[in-house]
Amino acid sequence: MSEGTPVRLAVPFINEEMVERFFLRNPHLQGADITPLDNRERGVGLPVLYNEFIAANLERDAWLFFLHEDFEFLGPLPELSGLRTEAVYGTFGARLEGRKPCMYGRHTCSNKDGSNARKTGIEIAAPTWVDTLDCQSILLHSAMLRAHPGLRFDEGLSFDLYAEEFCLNAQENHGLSVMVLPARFQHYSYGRIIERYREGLAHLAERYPDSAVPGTCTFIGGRAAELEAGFTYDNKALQAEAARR
Amino acid sequence: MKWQKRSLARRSTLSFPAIEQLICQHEIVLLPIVDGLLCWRLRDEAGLFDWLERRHQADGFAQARAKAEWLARRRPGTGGDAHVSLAQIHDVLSELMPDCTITAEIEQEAAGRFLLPDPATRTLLETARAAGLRGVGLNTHALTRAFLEGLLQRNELELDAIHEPQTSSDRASFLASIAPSEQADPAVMLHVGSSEKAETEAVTRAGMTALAMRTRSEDLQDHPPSFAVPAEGPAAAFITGQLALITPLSEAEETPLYQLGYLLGGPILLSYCLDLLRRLGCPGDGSVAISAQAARLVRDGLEIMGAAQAAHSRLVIADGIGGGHSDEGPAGFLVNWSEMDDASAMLLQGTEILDFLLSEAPQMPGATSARRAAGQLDAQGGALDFLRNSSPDLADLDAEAFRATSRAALMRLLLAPNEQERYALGTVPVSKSETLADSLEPRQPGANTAIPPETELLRLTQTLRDLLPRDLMRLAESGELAAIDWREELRKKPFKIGRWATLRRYRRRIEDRLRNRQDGGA
Repeated sequence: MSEGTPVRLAVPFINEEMVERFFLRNPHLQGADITPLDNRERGVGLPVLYNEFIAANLERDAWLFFLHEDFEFLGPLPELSGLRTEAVYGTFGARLEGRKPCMYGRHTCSNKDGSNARKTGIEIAAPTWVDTLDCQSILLHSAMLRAHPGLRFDEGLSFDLYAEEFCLNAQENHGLSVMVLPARFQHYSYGRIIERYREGLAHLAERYPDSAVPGTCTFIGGRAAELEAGFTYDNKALQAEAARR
Repeated sequence: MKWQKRSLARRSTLSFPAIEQLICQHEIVLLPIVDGLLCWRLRDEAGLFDWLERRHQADGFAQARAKAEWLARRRPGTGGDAHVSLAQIHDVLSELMPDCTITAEIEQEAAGRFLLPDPATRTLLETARAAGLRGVGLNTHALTRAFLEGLLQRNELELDAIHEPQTSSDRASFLASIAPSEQADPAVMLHVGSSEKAETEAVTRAGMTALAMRTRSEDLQDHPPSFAVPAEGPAAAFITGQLALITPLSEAEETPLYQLGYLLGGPILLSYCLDLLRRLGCPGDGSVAISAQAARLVRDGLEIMGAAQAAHSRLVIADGIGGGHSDEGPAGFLVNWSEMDDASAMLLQGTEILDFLLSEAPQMPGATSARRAAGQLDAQGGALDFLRNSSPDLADLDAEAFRATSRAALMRLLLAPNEQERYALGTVPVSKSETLADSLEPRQPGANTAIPPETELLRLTQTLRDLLPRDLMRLAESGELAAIDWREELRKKPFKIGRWATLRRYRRRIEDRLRNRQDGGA
């Protein structure tokens, strides 16, 4: 358990206005320990920045909250007291139910400019287990990271699928549970599926040849095709990409 | 023993003599306990989690329980191969489902209900022991050793030793540890295991001989149901649709009464229990009556189907010759014949057949009491096994489709029984000298086994009409039935509710039939 443990927010950014508006001037985060990670010049993959942040904060007990710059809390931070440190947490994730992936963590999803906003995800009242988390947010305890030195972000990935990979690694190799926490937030995230995402999927299929889990956009793992045979994601970005091909 | 040997050979790539020869070439036979000597009388182990979820109304339990074991086996970092206890699994489960009320003890108790001896593996053990070999059990399951020892003892499965892996050890380490424990060369050990390639390879690497034998669950999945395959329409939907029922062909060579219980009694009992569950699930404090004869079986059936305790407490057992009434109408036997066109009424009529097959003292002319008892156990076992095998799919069951299918299966069986079914029906008396088989025509080659046409319904109705509960039949045969007034019975024996209620319904049925006839009805 982790009562009184500090919470450190790590926010990599290339858009300074966003990190200012959603984090530094967010009234719900007043007094929070926020570390903006400027990636404008370096342009490295987020796993590299996240692993550096872990290394810098490993020795002292703390919750490390990795958040995208386009993530805005619309309420207070999730309740962390009473949470087990030996688990991986996030605010939005997918679980396979029968042949269908179900998304947990109700929130508003919109374009970068806030347009086309709509609600997505199943509402939860308490921590709920899932198979994978979305990259938008991931919360880890430094004690868990110290106990599992093999559990770090995969630097072979750059901007997509690293949270999903982290969840696969945590479950497959360390037997850790993955949970979604209730929170109020908006994700300014509609984007395009690009070749980088496809390469990430291939990377995961190679790294986890016997796995098949649902992600929030696609199935993931070497046996994903088996799940794809039973369900097709209603994903406009994917459909648009297929149309472009 | 003959059919067990055939069943055993079917699950291996070897014939029984070849298996026997292989056994004799070794000194120690290693047999898996769970999914080996004891097999799941469910479609698979996941069916147990579904059952517990329904029974305890714990939404999401089945999925979380499976995930918890998956995680627990990976927690030591051995790639999912680690040996874990039920307590460890439930520790992980408490992370995923903090409010879960199903404990490791409850799950263990439930496992005991559904783990029964696998006749084919028992044959293998007996063959080994007859040849003077050591029979050694291997437990890689999460259930505790003490619990499994109790189950084995209860089922008269005697082993010389039991080995289980150290906590957190993987399969390879476990197999390597057996020879030192047995103080024997691995080359004298025959390991009976699943047909999983990884397991066979691990055994071979440990220096033992691997006899790959498909588990009973795998065997069930490989064989389609026998009784409804030719049927079309709802019956086909029954097979391929909501209820992926699998007939245990490993039992297909068992006694005809077991089969009759499984194929006929099972679907009827399931339909009956579904109907009861629906009634018991309705709000209110009303009770539902069932006959004393069917009480034990129905209670067992409801339990297998995961009915909550509250449902059980609303069941009222009516003493006497028939069933009783719920607020909504007939709940047991002797429903109104004028409702024969209704599928659910048809199935309620079917419970009368069930009554014959599964009553405490079934009438089997010419049979000794020992044979009667054996026949009763066979038929009851078959019907309950049907429920056990089908209960994992109940959540997806389309009750209406199932009723229609059961009706089709019942009609098919009565109108066109195969030789084995005919033999079994021959044990069901319909009068002092005749059995049900006497009133049926033998099946013609290529006979249509789909739902019979409407004209056949009348014939079936006549057949079913013959199947009155035996007490009522006895009264009819003695000539007293027509003279008995249910009101008199009520006054004389007010607490024999089932008896006078049945007589009342019988009287009303006669009156209804007369009225129908006068109205030009059937």
